[in-house]
Amino acid sequence: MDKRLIGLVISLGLAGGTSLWAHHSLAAEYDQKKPVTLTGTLTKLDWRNPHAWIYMDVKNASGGIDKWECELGSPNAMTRAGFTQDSVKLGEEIVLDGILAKKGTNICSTRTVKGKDGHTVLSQTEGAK
Amino acid sequence: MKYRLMLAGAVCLAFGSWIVAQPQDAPGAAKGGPGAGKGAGKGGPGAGKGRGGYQPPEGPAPKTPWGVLDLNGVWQRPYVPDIERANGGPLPYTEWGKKAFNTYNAEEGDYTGSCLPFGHSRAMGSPDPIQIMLTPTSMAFLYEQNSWFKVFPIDGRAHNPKKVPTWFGDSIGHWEGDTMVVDTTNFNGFTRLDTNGHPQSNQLHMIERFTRTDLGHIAYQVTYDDPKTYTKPIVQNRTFTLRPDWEIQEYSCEENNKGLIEGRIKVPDYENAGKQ
Repeated sequence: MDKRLIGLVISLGLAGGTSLWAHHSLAAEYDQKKPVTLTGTLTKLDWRNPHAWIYMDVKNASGGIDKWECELGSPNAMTRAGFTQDSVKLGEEIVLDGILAKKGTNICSTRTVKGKDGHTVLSQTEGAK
Repeated sequence: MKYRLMLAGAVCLAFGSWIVAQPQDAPGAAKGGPGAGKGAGKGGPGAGKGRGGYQPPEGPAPKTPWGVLDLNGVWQRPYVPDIERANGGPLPYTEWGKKAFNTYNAEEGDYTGSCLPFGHSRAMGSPDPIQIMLTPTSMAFLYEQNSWFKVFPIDGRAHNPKKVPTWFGDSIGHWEGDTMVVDTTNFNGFTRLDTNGHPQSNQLHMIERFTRTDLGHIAYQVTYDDPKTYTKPIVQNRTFTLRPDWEIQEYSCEENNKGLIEGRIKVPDYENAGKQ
């Protein structure tokens, strides 16, 4: 019951935020109780359906690099919202907000990606500015 | 359940705000993991801004060359992930329906995560647009969601009871004045009505009414009549908006479905899930 409620909360939250996520229930794969904020360098943007994926290198506390993979909304919907695969450049420093996957390491679902200056470069919850 | 829904609504608002207003952290930090969550619930300037700003064309409802209201076009629809919220109150479950909802757990296999068909209701409530194509004798829904489609007759024929039950059901249409009425039965019972998993059975009878109210809009009414799942029909109204600036795009669910490919999404147990 609790898991179902979490799914309900996530769906309502995404609806309120005009989510571009629609492929399946977010609760099937991600844990909304585990938000994550990453600052690092974009290494790859996989702009394909059903959902785009963003790859980034993030410095860890011991000075090494952790490689992260985070899911975005569908490229179709993000394109309509004004984003493109050129909205962010390889090697660009970005700040990503998302929630962690229930399984796997360094995997998350992306909410927003912002550039170093704070402007939104990718989002599944808002349009391009 | 009432209090849980209230809680869900409150958390929803907080989470929706967090989505667009999560504070940034110091460069070089990778945060998260068990216990992370500080900052959740914060809103702020700009929180909740949508895409907005689009103005559909204005004018009277157009007619086809053969004299009926023209439903052709690419239509933006409201995303309806939760028909209970759209209903404005609890759904009138039967005992079977209540159990079907309470025992549903998306984590154990939301069938759409495996790219299985959404079913007609969930596809009509998806945020992606549809294109409606209308001829004098047939009608088609081209759902952008997963590039699915449905083509059905509107020439007065009845349902064919010999057809195999399907994800999207068997549809027939007819005109009642200026309203196209689409009647759908013969569902396979494997689908859910919405993203949140509200149930339907294979006894669902779905009645949709499409009325082109002006150049830019269709008034859409859907009735879910499923006596196995709900004690009375559920009727909901939505507005479709014409988007002449949009085209239906290809949407391959299978191409890059990493969650399924890498084992984070479960395939549903259809041996049991389809039992009615």
